[in-house]
Amino acid sequence: MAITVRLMSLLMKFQTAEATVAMVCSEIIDVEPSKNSVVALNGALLDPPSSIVQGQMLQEMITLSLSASRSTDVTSHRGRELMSGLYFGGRHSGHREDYDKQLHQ
Amino acid sequence: MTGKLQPDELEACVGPVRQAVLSVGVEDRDLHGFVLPGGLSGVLGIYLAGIKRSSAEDGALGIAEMVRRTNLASLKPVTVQMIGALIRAIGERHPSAGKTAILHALATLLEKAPLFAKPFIPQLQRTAVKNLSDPANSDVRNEAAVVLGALIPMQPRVDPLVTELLGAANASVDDGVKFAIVKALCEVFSKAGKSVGESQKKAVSDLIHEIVVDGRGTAALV
Repeated sequence: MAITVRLMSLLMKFQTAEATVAMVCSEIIDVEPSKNSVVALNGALLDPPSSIVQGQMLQEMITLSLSASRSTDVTSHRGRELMSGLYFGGRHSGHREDYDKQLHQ
Repeated sequence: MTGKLQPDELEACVGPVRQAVLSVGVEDRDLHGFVLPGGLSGVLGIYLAGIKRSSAEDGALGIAEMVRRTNLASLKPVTVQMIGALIRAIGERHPSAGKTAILHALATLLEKAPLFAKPFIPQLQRTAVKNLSDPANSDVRNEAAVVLGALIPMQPRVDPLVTELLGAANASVDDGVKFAIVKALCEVFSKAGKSVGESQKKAVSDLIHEIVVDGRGTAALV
């Protein structure tokens, strides 16, 4: 799975913004949270193209991270959800407050 | 001296010669004897006898070590002979360790002297793709992915390769094989992602969807 996520991350660098957004939706956002989707989320956020770290996409990924952290199916991936927070924090500090606010709601 | 020895006698020399080379040479530094005119031919004859017979692993590792201890000018006259022998050897029945060593030797040669290997690109690509699907051993598959990675920058068009890899991935029921193919696709995108066509990108995206969402293929490796 990790190598598949690496491939996804590489593919996103060479796709159009529309194709990247469609890919993130179909692999990560529009599916039931699972181990695979959480690993894919973290892969996408490790070196994200600009098309997915803005506006509604970002909001949906934060929501998904929080939802995944509460899911009993993916509890072992709680640490990964926290990593997502660090990626947001480190790369896009303007969004960290949003993330923290949701985390403590 | 080596010209007068029989093939089985040459093969018996493979191990001791490798030891001797390792004991006097340093990796990535020219070994004086190898860069003298004709200096490679004696040792190469011994290693080639090894890869043609039952000492394929030692012979191929010896060739890889020799390549790393020789400059390009000295390698040039023997490259065709070396690559030809390695390609023929990998088509023969060898244990997985032997195949892995042969692929390692090819990868070392491609890394050091990519231009000399250009005439062999089609055969090398076929060899690498075939061994990516080796059902028995992950070392063979991983080394084949390395060879493929070394070949990618030398090719003007990568779409046929991507199509071939996708075909192999879709035909495979073995998670290990699919893993190696996905790894090879990573090599393609990291080295020549800009050259991949739109329809190939869409097909790669479908493969990712199959693995991530449908849980087929390398999902079991989480």
